Amino acid sequence: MDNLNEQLKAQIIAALNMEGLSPADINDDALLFGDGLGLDSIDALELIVMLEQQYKIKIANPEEGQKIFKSINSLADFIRSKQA
Amino acid sequence: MQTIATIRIANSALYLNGQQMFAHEAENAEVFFKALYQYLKLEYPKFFKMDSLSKLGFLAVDALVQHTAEIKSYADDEIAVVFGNYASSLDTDQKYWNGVAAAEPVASPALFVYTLPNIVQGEIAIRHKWYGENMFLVLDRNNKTAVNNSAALLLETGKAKACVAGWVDYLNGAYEAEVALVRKPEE
Repeated sequence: MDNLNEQLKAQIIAALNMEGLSPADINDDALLFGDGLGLDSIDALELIVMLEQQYKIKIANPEEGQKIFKSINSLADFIRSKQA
Repeated sequence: MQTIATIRIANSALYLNGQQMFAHEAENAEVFFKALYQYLKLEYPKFFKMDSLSKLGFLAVDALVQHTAEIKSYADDEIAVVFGNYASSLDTDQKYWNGVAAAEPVASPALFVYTLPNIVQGEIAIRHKWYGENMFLVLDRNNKTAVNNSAALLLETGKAKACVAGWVDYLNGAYEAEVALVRKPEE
């Protein structure tokens, strides 16, 4: 089990008030937006704030967001790349 | 103006036309709202992302819709929503301010979108697909007459055939909602 992935799932559930969901309900490769977890544009902004707060990472180019926030795996990869 | 049905939420209980339908002693308003959500058998995940004022209004109107068959007889642009309160969106405004004024400032987008009182009406309009007139009045404490007068005006001028009108107020854990379905008297 990847600790960062599990940590991200718990943080997203808490930050976005996703009542009734547990980390186990979120697949590492599932889409976070659209047909996947169903997040919306306000959630995207909240995730950007979460990244800044929890990981001190700023997304300089909003165009990057789509790729970064595609799934838990892509988000975790992005964080690791910034922390390396 | 004729009142068809009234829902009241106060003191950890839900009342329909003055009769208690549900009560749940809870340590705070949020816990009570969740219990009421479950009692009404709602399945609407967005509810949990709303601020407290929106949750309160949303629950009151959902209870009204569930217990008032007539409400479904109106077209989506025939129902107006008129609310009033005393505290406006101050509860959420304070929470947002506490975030931005903190030593490590946080400007939460999810909180910011609720820093207007009429957002509750937007949530209700989305939920029930109502596209009629809406108005939110910030008033003196317990000035419910102004809400009723505004609803009556919309009905009298033909801007709406029915109106969900009432008082929806939340501040620092204290809450009161009283909403009614009203329409012009039958001639």
